[in-house]
Amino acid sequence: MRSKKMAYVSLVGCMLFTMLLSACGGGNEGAETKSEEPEQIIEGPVEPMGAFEPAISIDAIRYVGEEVKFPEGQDIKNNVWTDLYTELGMNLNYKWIVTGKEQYDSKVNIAIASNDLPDILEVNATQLRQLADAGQLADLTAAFENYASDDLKKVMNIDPNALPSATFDGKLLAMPSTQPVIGGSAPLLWVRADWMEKLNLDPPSTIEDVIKIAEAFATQDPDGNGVDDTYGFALNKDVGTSGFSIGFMNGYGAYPQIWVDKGDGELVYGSIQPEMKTALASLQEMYKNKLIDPEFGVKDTIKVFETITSNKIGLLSGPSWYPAWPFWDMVKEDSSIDWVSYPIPSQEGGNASVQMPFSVSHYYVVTKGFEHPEAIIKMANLYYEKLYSDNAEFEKYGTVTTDKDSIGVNKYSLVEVVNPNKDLIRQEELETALETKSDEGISSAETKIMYEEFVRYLDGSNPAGWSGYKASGPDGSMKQLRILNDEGKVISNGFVGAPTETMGQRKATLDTMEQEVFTKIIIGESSVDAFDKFVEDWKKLGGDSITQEVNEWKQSK
Amino acid sequence: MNHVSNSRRLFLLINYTLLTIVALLCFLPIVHILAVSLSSKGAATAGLVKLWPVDFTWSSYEYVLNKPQFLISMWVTVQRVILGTGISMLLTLLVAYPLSKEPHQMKFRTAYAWIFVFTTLFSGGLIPWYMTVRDTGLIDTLWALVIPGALPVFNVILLLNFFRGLPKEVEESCFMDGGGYWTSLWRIYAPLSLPAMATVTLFTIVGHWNSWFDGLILMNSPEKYPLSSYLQTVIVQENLSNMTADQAAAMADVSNRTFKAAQIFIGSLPILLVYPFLQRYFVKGIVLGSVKG
Repeated sequence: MRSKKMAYVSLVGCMLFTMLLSACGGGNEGAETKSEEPEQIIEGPVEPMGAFEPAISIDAIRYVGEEVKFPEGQDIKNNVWTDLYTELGMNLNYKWIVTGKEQYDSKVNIAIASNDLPDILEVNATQLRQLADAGQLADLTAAFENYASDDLKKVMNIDPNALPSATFDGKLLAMPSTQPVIGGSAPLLWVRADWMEKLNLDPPSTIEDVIKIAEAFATQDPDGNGVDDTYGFALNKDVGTSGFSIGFMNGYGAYPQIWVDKGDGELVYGSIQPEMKTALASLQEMYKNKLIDPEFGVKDTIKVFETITSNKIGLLSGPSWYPAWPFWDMVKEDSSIDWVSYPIPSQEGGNASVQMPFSVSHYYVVTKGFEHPEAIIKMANLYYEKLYSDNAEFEKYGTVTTDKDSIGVNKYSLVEVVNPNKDLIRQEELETALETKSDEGISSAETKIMYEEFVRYLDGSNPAGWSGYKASGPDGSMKQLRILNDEGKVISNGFVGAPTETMGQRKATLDTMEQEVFTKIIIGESSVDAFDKFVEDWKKLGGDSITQEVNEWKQSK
Repeated sequence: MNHVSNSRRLFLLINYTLLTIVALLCFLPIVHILAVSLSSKGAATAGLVKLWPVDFTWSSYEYVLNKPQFLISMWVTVQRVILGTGISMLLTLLVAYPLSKEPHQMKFRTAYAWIFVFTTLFSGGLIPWYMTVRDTGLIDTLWALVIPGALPVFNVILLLNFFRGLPKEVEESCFMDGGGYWTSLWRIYAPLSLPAMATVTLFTIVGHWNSWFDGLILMNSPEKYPLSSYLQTVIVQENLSNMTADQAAAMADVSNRTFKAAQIFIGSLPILLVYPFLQRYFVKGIVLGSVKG
């Protein structure tokens, strides 16, 4: 009886394995036939904006952000951008479309694993490395050289690491999607101006002053409701990875989660430097003195925004765009509320250097075997041409304004390549325009629209212009970032390659440990000296080999 | 017999208090979501809403009910629940009945049972699953949501055990009267096992209603998402640390907690309404299935 049973089991097992094996075999076969197709050869002079004759069909996949809206009669498959592509002989055929970046990432992982790739797709750094190692990507070196417009080449070279990060063994295998991360991430200090005035406080000139303001806000009832319900400084659960804590740590010269050059050309990991210990000690002290929300350890950014909007916090560090969200939500309800930004002060006084991530977080790739890899370069050319060049048609391809609202149609473009300094240039042009009362010096239609908004904000007819003005106005947060940038006080991640081997295996664990140790230190569960043990553990548990790999990467560049 | 001792009374008191607290803990989040959905945006953003709406307004519901995508997704879910539950119940019944027979009635019963059990212990993994669905041409159709999980083995085992618990004599009487296995299944076993079937149906309905991952992976465009997949894309927050200044302004627009709450609430309402109707079978079904002999 028993042996009979076993026989059945093994029979079934065998059958399943055969099925599994044959499935795998099929997948590999597909990959091989694809890679055997000849490489694209480019000859003669080419036109960056030339149309394909005859028209080509391009398989693509994409995601649509949750915030993306469409004017009447347009959708993601039929809109001004797809029309533009069709005009140039590029017929886009979306294999699938998904809502949300995170969802997109997991679908791409599945597409890669099941060898179900379209001709053109967007990938993150890890996926890029994976596809490059598997030899599944088309070489874009020649296509970029021949087809990229001068504008595109210029933008690609603003961040010197952008193109190298997409180059493998001397071949350009992807188009980096550069983004204006300085305006998106570099931290500033945001303070409730009305509270400062009420409590007669001076703008902070050292990081110690910041703590003094926090103390005043926490203890002197700045909102005047007679209840002790305010905190001094905002913090969320992602210590060391969210702007709330990063800005404060930058004030102490600590740069969490990024690789910094210590001056001798060697890259070191910011989170384990001695400056971090000082920053944590200071946060611990603040927590002990009840300057920090005791529930910060369970609050995400949105929850902290709620605390801010309900007048409980008036001091925080964060990116330049906070006036748009969440501050505007409060200011539109109560115009007596005002926020002001300062550069993060350092310990000794003066502006501290602040950190920002690498300007490229995703890439556009063409899979091997697609006959027209230059199509992606042309799309990038178009994006720049139609939005930011002298021939830009921003009202058509950038932002469409209807009676009800304005819609950012530039989001329908499959390829997005933005000047990393876009926000700073915009601020500079706006400032000049406001001074000279003329928009002549403004180079892009987008900025001209903003200038109009500013003018109407200043004469009182457009109160909603507040948030734009706070960010990009003459004294706005972007201005402060621009000054910092000019002084070389904005530090970018020194390591911009795809995750190294040990990072792939250990980084998640190390990050969790880092977060735990930092949080425990801040809430006083561990003493500050636990930091030394953390540094030791970090090195032992793979940190040392990561450091080595990162520096080997740097040597090789 | 009517006399209840003091210690018993104390036990009941504590017991009921604890159970009430647990019940409230399950209930309060729903009340909170409802309250948020009925509040004004300002109050919700400021975190002022606890269990009662602040600045009462229906505007979120108007917005949601006028949002085509929400209604489309709702319809997809309704279709998948009806189709999926129907197919799933039929298959479960057809598999559980023969497997509940003795080996002399059903040859190789053990082997068949093993094949089914094997799938609960080992699965091909995500990628083979995806490739199977793709290569069978189901992808991007409603069937992709219905067929791949059409036979929940756990439910089969539940029903199978319930069948075994039924007295054999009932079936024998059916045979005596000239009925075959089909007659026995449809006229004896199915009617007798209503409690177990109700339980299994409930599992299946809830499973279909809540399942979001398959919709996200197997559908090629957002218009075909079932409700749960759609809600997932609405609720999961984009990574704020990777946002550009221009995106932030747009995100501020959609980050409306009252809209989200309204969608969550409407989305869970139908399934909440199913429970009371099937609830009375629920406990009985699960217990009866597990006790046999």
